[in-house]
Amino acid sequence: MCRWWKCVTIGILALLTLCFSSPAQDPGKEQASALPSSPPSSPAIPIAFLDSLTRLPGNISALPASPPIPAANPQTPAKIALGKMLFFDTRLSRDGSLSCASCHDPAKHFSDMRPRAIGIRHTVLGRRTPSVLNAAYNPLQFWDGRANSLEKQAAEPILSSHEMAVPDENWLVNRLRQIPNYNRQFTQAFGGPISFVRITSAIAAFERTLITPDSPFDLYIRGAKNALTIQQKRGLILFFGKASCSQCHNGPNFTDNKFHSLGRLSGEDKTQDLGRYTISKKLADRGAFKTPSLRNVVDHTPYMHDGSIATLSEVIAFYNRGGGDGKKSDLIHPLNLTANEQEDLLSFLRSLTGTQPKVEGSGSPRQ
Amino acid sequence: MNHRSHIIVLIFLLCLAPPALCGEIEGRVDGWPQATLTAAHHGVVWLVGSPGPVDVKSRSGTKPTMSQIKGQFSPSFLVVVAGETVAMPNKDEVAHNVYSNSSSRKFNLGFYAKGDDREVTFATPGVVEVGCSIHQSMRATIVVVPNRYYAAIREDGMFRLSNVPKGTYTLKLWGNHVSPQSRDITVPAVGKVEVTLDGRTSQLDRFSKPMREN
Repeated sequence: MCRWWKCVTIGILALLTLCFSSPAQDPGKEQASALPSSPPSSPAIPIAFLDSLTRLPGNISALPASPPIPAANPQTPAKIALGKMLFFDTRLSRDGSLSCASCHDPAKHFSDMRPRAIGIRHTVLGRRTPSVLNAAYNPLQFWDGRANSLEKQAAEPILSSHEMAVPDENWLVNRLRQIPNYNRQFTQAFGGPISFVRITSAIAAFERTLITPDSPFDLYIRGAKNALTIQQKRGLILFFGKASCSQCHNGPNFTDNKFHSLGRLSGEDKTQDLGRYTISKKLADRGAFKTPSLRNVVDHTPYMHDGSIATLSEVIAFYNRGGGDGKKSDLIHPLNLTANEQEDLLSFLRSLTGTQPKVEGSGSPRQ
Repeated sequence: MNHRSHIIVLIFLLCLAPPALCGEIEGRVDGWPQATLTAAHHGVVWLVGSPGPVDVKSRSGTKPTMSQIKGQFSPSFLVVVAGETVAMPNKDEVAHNVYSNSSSRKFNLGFYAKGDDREVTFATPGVVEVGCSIHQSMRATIVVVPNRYYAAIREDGMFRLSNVPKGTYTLKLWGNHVSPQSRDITVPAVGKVEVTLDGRTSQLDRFSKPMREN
């Protein structure tokens, strides 16, 4: 008798346990109950923890409403309008074949989507055209950082014999002075005649309007917790966690504005592009290039300074295997990301595409 | 001066001088592995016995610190005296977690980023293996010794323990590439005692055998 009751009681208890135990696989529930101090056996940072953060590692943050504006070149509508005319004007190249927009094409996200840029008379240049979008947030321009302002950057391709091939500054100033409308526009924008510095100042002022705010990531950071999908949030966690992307791609524009070598130089080839080394002459800078911004990164194909990697998935795979075989930064090492994690990271990178600036018509004067 | 005054002067001088009852241990770990580009060798010797009260405040000024920087613990090897608190600031651009499952001190500081610093107090002597659950390759070791009578093994395998009160102790060795060892040792009131330990005994993986020890 006693034994029978015992059996019934155990049976009922077992049944109750089965009924009330929650299903083991419920991702939503898992996320909600996860705490910051989860045991070391589960390396992933929980999404609830991400959502609770007010500040992300690496100070990755929303794009500021305006890029820094240098005191010597304040923004004015007249100057911006003039800068736009100049940006699209092929008369800024010696043979009239190229404007800034030839390589920095608005239809191609202010780049050219080519592995390497093409200069005057179809000369293939050494590096990929960096997009102008959000360049105004960066203190250094060019892949090797040799210009410390947009004004200085704008001057170089105009005067480069491989690019717009203008022989010298006065040559261009004299050419533009023959166009009455430009004389009027410069007087209006600067209160004085055309000069080379004013040409590059106006172009830089226009470029400072080419920004892409309000990406899903920006909305998320500003408080819209649903602006990112669960997969993108997992990707963001990897970005500043396991994948360590934010070691270099940090700050509001997802770049540290520093130079890193990814181990892609080979010992043999003497013709290789040594990147920052050509400017700094420091051994550590051999083959190091400036960390590019990751904003709108899905649009900016192909990748790397020489356009040598076609897709973003391949770029992620490259970093996952620890970069190239050559001498490289200590920050580059195998990441051990699973295929799913690489997908999550890619999904997060898609959230960095913001509102594109509307640039219609060039407005360059005929006369 | 007569004989008597000599003795008086001598006694007077003896009273002035501090009691010279401290000796020195000078030692060598035989076969201490040469440092290579890929492997760092860390080791420490310390005394067990009764070398006076445990002196927690032996480290003057700054708190011992183990930072996370550029995806590494820095330093990756630290010796502290039982009772000391170690600052573990994140100075990195990525998030880290700092934890230990070692028996003498288990802790988990959770996930944190730059500017959100944490610290850990180590009350019990022992060897504490530290890791980051996000970045599995990040490793560090904290050896918690019972008192301030410890010395790190130098690159050439030598060590020196100074100002040790006269007495008999057990000298302990821990190194990430050698087997733990003990050696009884008598420190004289004046002068030094020399000791040689065997560093060739083993190529231990430092994470395979946490040592519960005092």
